[in-house]
Amino acid sequence: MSTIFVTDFSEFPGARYDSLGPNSGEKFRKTVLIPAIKANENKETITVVLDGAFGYGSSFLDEAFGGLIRDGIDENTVLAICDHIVSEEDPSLKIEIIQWVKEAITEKSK
Amino acid sequence: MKKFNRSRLRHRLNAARRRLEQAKRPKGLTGGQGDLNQVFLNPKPPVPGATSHVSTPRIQAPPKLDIYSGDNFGAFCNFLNNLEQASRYNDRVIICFRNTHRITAAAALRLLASVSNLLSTYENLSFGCSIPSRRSGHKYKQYDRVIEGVLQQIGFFKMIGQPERTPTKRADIAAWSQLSGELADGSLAASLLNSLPPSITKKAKAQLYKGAIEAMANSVDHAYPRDENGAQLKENRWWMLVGRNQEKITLIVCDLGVGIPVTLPKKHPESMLRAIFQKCRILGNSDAEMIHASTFIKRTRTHQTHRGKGGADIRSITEHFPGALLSIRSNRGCYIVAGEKYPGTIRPGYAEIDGSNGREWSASYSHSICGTLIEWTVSLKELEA
Repeated sequence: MSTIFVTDFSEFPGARYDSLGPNSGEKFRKTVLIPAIKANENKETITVVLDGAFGYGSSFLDEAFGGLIRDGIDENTVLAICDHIVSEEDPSLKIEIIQWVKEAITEKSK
Repeated sequence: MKKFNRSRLRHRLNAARRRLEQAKRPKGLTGGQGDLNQVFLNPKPPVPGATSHVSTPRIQAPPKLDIYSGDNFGAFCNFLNNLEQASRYNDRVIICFRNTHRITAAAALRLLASVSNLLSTYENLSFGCSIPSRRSGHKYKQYDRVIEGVLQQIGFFKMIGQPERTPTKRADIAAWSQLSGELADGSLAASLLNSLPPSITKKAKAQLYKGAIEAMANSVDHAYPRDENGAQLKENRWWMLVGRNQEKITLIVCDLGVGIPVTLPKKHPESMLRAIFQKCRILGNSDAEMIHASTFIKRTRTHQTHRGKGGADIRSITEHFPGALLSIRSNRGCYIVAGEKYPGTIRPGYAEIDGSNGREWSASYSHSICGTLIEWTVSLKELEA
């Protein structure tokens, strides 16, 4: 099992795009999530721990997780990551991420 | 009757002559009551080093530096406009606070933003500042140094290069913290939120952070115009202030961009805006109505289906904290939404929005604040729960 702690990326998750500021959702997806998915040849469970960060804007979450779908990552892989999100400090974040991922899947299928 | 002192006659005559000369100098009118004297609107002398042919303009701040009531809003906007006009044509401008006896956090932040922006726009510009005398028995004896304390607290004197004053002893003003930036940097927002009392829960701070980071990102991403090649035409800076008193905390984010009413129709397809307008029963396209619509935009920004979730984050604080109040002022409009259990009342001058069950208000003004100012007010009890 592979575990990603968002706090290893940053304690202060930022905006959607890297052009808007540091620690963006785009950067988290490109430098942390996608490399972890590609390196996971054995199809082990990837767990993302959201706890410990100062807070999250919706744009960061959408760009980081919904962006995986838009980047062509298999939707079952992304949904599996969503299932293993740990957010004990604010459980609503997990629900929000699943919502953005499902919306991205719907948009992609249009 | 006091005996006439002949030995002081020359001194008195000289003093009278100086007063007369001073009175004859052209002056800017009170910010809220009139326009800047035309003599200050001439272009600067073209030759470097040449002295101006007029004396330094003094821009009078209105008695109440406040944006919450319609009259004060107009006077404040007029004052900012005078300040900008004078700065455009003069290398030195004096801001006069002698008539000012009240200043709110939002107005203070907006003034700071203007001064900062003008100093970065006009290389040779410098500001002076006059505040009421502290001498007892002076005609401004009612002055309790609030204005000076606020200006010191927000870093106004430091910004204009004047000696810093003694920090205020008033706890509610001393608790103000402000900063600004050009990027949506979460560590900056967090540093301000960490200045709040430790009794505020981590989850509550995370909610405030959520709104703040989206407001900052909106300022950086949308507020400032770009040229045809996508280059920024103006410094895309935002300013943020956190304040608190014994009952509530206030978080304000401000920018000097083109405003929500301008960016909204440019960045979103008409069909989507029409759907929001219908859903919210918005009938017109005033600035206040455009701001109202912007808080419902969750998707489809810049014609990219996945963008634009910030408006909902900004609004969500009033859903998470039922006693919170959100005010968004942009250009000539204001939109206010209260949480379900907001304990306060809204000042006169704001019209309740139909179908909002007494939770949403709007106001339209004849003056523009030339930018956007988002303000959240949340009770400490809710933040500590």
